[in-house]
Amino acid sequence: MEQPKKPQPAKTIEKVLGEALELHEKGVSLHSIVRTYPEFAEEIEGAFKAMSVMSTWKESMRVPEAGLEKILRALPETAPGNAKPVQSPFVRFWSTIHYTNLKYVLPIAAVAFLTGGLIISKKGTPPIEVPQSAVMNNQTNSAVTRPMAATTAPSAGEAPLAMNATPASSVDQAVAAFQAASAKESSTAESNNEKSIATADSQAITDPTQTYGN
Amino acid sequence: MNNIKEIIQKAKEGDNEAFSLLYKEYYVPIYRYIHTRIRSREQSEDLTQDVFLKIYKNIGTVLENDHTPLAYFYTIAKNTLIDFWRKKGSDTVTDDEYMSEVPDTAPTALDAARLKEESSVLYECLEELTADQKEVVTLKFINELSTHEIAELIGKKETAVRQLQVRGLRTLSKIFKQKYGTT
Repeated sequence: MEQPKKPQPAKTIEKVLGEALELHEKGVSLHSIVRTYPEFAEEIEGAFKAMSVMSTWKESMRVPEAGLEKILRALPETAPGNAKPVQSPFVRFWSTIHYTNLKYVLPIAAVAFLTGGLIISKKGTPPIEVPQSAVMNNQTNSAVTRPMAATTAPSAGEAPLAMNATPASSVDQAVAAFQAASAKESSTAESNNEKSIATADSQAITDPTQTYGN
Repeated sequence: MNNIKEIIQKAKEGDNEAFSLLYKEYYVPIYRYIHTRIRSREQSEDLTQDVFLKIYKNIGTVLENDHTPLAYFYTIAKNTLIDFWRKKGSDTVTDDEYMSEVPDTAPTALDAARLKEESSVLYECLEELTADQKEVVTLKFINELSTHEIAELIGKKETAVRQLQVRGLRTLSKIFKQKYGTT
């Protein structure tokens, strides 16, 4: 009585097939491989048949002959490898001045400019020196004697000078006269203004069609 | 290998003659790689051309890393196929595309019919394999790459590649047996 064939464990078959393929790659013939593993002959022959079918299929694949001409026509006229990565504007600018002196001059100029700016900002603006003779002759107080409308703000040099200088008595008198005149003008203007408002009010009362203040 | 490096270097410098040599060297393996995944011959040709155009445009990056040129080209071919399937919306092939595939190498109409049938069966058999098994089996037996090259290409260890190869062949053997009753 024929005994049922014992199934081979899958792991063992895979291992044997792996070894069989390795031997085949080394040039060992299928016949020799089958003789080495007689208990797996059917599996090995099946795998080698599949390999053979694949190889036959490969040979039957027609490879187009005119492909080269077609692709050479399709190629762009420019040189190969022109697909450049996208660069930032700064990188592009920098690459354009790569071979010029600007590449070296610009950084030096920038450093010099920044250093100069720093030094100036640390020192501050130097004070303007006024000759002592000008103070003694009261030339700096001429602004005080001018009418208010014509006066200008004292410059940075005049301000400290005016504070430190001691005014003469004639100057004091002139100042006092000017202030008195200003006060008089101011009171006259105020009374004139009040008068005009009162006139407008009386007109508005007598003529109701008119808008107040217009 | 040094010769190929020299050719690539010349191609990088803008030598179209060198690029033609590269094309002649790698056209067949790239075409076969694509054609085992797409039945239509015309589409395979078009995609192979797309691959070479991409190689041409990016020739400056070839050999920049440790990969061999072939591994680099296969990666481009694989990405081109992925783009193709994504645009198409499916990785299946229509009947029209299949019917257009008649190997021109067949000398007679009878041989043509036989080859066509075998080709059809093989495409169907390959569909039964897992993606990894299909990749390894075609790279091994259609593109004739070594186990080491395949391992480098797909980023797996050689033992894993051999295991995928064995399992793929066993599956194919079983399918042939079912279809034809014999291996």
